[in-house]
Amino acid sequence: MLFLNPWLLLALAGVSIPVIIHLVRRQAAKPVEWGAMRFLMDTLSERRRRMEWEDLLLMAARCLLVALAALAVARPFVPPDSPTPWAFVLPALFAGIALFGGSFVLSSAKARLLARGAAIALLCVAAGMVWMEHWLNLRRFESGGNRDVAIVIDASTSMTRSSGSRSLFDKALEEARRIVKDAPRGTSFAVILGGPAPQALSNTPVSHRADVLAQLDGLVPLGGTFDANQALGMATLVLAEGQRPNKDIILLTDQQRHGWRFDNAGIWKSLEDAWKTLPAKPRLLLRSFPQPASLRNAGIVSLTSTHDLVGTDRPCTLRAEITNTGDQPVSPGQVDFEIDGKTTAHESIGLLAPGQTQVVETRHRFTKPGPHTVTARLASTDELRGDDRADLVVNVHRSVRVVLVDGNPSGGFFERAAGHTALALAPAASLVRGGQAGKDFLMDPQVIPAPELDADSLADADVVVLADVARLPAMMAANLADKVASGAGLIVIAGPRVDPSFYNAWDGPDGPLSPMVLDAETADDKGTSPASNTFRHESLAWAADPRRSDLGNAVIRRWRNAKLAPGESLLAAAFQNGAPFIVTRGYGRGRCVFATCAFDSRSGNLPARTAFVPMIHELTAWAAGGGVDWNIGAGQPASVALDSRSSGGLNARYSRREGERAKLLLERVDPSIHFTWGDESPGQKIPRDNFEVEWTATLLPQVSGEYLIEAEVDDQLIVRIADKTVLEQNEGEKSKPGRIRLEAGKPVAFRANYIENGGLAYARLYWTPPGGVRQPIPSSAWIPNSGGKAPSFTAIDPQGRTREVTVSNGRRGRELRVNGPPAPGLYQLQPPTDLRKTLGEGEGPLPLVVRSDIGESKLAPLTEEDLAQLRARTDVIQPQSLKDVLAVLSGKGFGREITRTVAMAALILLLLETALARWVSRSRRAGDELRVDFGDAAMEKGGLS
Amino acid sequence: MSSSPRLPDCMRLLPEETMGVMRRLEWLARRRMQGTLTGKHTSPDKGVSVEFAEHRPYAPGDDPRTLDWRVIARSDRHVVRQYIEETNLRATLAVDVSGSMAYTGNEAARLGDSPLSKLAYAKHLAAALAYLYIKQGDAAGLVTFDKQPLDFVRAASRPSQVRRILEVLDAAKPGADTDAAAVLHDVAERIPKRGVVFLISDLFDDPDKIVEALHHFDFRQHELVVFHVMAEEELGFPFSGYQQFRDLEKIVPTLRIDPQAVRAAYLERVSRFVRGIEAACGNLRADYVPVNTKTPLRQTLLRYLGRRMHAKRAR
Repeated sequence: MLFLNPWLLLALAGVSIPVIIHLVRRQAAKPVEWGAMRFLMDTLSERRRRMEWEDLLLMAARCLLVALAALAVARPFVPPDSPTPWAFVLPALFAGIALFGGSFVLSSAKARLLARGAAIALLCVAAGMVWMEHWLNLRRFESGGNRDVAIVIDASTSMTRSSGSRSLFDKALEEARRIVKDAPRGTSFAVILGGPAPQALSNTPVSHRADVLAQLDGLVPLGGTFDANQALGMATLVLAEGQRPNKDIILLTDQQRHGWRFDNAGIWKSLEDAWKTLPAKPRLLLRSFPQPASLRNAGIVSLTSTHDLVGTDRPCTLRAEITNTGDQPVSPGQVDFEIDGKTTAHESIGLLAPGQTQVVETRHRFTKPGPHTVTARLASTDELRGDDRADLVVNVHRSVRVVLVDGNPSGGFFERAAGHTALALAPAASLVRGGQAGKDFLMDPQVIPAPELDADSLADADVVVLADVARLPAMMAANLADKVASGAGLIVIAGPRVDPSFYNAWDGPDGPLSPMVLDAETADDKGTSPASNTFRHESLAWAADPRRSDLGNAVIRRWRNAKLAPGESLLAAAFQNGAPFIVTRGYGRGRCVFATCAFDSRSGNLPARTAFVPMIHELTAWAAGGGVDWNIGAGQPASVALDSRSSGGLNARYSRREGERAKLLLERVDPSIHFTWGDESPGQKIPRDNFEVEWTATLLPQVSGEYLIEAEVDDQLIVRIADKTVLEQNEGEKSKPGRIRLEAGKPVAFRANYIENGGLAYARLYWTPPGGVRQPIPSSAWIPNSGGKAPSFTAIDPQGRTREVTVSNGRRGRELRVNGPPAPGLYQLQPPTDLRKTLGEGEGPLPLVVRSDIGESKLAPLTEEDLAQLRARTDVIQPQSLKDVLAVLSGKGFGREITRTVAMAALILLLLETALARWVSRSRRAGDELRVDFGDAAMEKGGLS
Repeated sequence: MSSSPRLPDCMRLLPEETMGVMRRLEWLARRRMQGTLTGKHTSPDKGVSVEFAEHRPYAPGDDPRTLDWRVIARSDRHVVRQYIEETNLRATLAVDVSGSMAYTGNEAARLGDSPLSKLAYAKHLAAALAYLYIKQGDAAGLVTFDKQPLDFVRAASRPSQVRRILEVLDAAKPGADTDAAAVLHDVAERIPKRGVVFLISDLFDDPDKIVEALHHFDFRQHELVVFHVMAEEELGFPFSGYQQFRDLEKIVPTLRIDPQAVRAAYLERVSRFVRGIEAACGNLRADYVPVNTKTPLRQTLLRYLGRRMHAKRAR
């Protein structure tokens, strides 16, 4: 038991007032010379005991009354988790006071001594317990004085729910305002808006309250899930910038469990460590705004399209999954589908029981290529509106450029490796070799014989089909691996001609490319057929039904043995003899499909199946389905990797030489210094001669040791690594390798300057890593410097506010990032025109969708175990009201105030004392009119007449 | 009645108030006398009466003129003639002068400026009665006592007896504690047969013992009149606030008490005491006269003596 005004406990000294009054009255006794002493004596001796008891009770009641009043004035309260039993302390205190006061009316000295002794003992016990409680408990609270306070406001979607007339967020905001206004002096505040990513409104705590209130004025809920750990981490960072010794974090939340991530103990441990570095461990005031108990809500779980590859040639299926997240049945009514803002379809949805999910689908044919937004809206009016809308960006391809590399170009059409495949993709043979398929035809195949393959052939391919191609040159293989990692698709038909050693060793940015370890070919006259029941892959699932596809009837007589590679390989189809048929894997942002038999007439009769054509289409579509995904998962940062190269490359500045000075013509990122321009110019606006190139980057070697740097150059190349000139090579000179010692994982600055005077132009840089062979420096070694101006532009976020978007060079290529917390919804990006062209078809704003998490709508509250976990990390206080919060900030502590109980007890005691006094006086019959009937009236009789 | 230019001090015991009462009574008696034969003694003269009652032995102090020479001559016995009036009225005034009688209180009747203590009141009362009897020609005697008899004045009917009684009364000072019972026994023995005894006291003693003593009086065939003198405060106990009660008789140690605490019980006790005395007097056919010192002296005298006059007439 503690006191809000502990100094007022001095009023307990007022207990002595009744005692003093009693003593003074006794002292003021006037002497009376009395004759009828014997009667007094007799009366006294008869009534003494009873009189003393009555007086004792009265005195005790009066002392107690004063004590209760004094206690009530000091405003006692029981702090939470108080160890001392106040139900014991209070009675001891009262008994002590009563005995002490009562001892003064006792007449026998022994009784007096006894009473006083007992009283003192009880009072000491009570005082001791109160002091101990004070020492143990109030130390939590009593750090008065200056403090930095971080106010973290939960701005997630669940806070937008209305409780009463206002939303929970508004209530939290209002309370934050009141806290700022009424907090004690010497407090400075930092406001942090909590959501999918926390948003700190200031970098350091602010002490000028008007500024903080101004910050609070503009706040609206962010939406999404409240990532508590990140928000608390940001609060900690901001608090660390503050100057004051005491730190507090006030968390205003609806205590929804989703987003706290208690299953990940590591992040909480690191938060705890961060708290330990602050000058004082911060107290966490968990102020909860609880959600109303029952929820009536239906929300959209996801909006997806069945095919990743959508073209303009056929409708695609869009499906929306609706679920009831509340505990009451709800009828959402209907789902409206909108494409690019225009409503196109309505699908009705029936009654959903709590927890029930229903899927609605609609089909739409996109007519224009480029990114399109699909929006699904729930028409229902339920309690949470934040989950009634879902968006999806569908990148509609004008065409999928499929380049088929024919490994067996000679021979008849149908014997060529790629013949059937190409035909399957395109309706007419004339379309092969670059003919136009038609405006709305999705697949745009082109067949290139393998010997004619060069670096540029694959440049703009969306899917590369290596049909029975033995091997590829190293550079091309590396580039193709990069391309796949960036989002292109690769289909390898491992026919008789392939060289397993090449494919098995084919490496790239995301590891080995092949999902299988290829082995030798097998031939079997009897042949084997694909097993329909193994068609579990999403692209082949349709073929599992023998009524729909006759793939199971195909007989394959020659196939290659293979084993699934460890890692992310997925067996899409197998033969009936158990050997794998088609294996897929995701690679970077692209996809690989490997088949173990050739799709030609010699291997079997697969191409003759009617299901062959759809199979090729589906496999190709699936392989092409990678690429830049403009839909970001819930809670992920709003950034999109535009490329997925193995590295960023080098910053290249192309300039024209004009006398002494150079005029900058072009800045770009080059994957590597391996150019053979010949007579051509390196790029637009750059002359064929008389230009310079400066490449800067950070070189990150993988192996430690001495590296040998060499170059083949026309006209001059100077290479500086770590500010040391390593190489200076001129055209025509013998190769003079430079040596440099590099450490693995330690980045060094790299600069190369190239000068072209005239004639041919080429620059090829090689290195020999320690224990390795001479090779062109791979792109994976370069990290472009992100210095210089990164292009930035604006975007409109789902709440309609402007955000800044930056495109920066990361390790793996360009990264587009929307600044600010990734609130779920549809963002409209407005890149400049030249950037827009590189990002997709069409013009106009680029949509970006951050998905929302339906878990936010489920409103599961924090459990006791969660709170226990929190308490294990730091001091968690759970104030129940604004008053409690302010009390904690003032260093006063709070708890269940029992002032009213004590005051009520004092009142009752007052009544009791009055009643007791009246009873005592009545029992003593001390009425004034009482007197002995002396028969004076008898004297009246017989008077003189 | 002698009057001189300078009154002796003891005469203050017969103030104008009392004398007024006496005169009135006299007037009333005269009025009555005109129509009756019996009742109050008629002869204004004191002295020899014609009716001879009996002889009694001579005691020193008797009037020599009452000696009956014939009997002396005949039988050599010194006898005194006793006349009817002499045999009828011999009043003895027994006045309690113990310490408890010294209580005054504020409510008591005043004579002059200051209130009368119970003792003063008793003295005035006794003085008036003595005067009355002697004026009538009856004999009056006095005994003052506290725990033992103090002064004794033998009954006599001479006019000078008044003076003697007054002097003794006046000189009496509050004494020690009361032991009325023992004294009363003693007085009962001493007083000659067949007189009237006026007991003026607060009777603050063990009530049972008092009652026993009263019985003794009855046994001796005395007519007993008990003037129970008490102060108003003793009857009402009107004290509020702590008081230090000091014993006037110096026996009980000082009591520092809250009077309100004991009032009811005290009054109860006193009431029982008074009832007891009253009942005992009733049983003994003694006359019980409660005298509250707040009642003015005049009123007390008038009421009692008037009543007695009626009662005597009725007898």
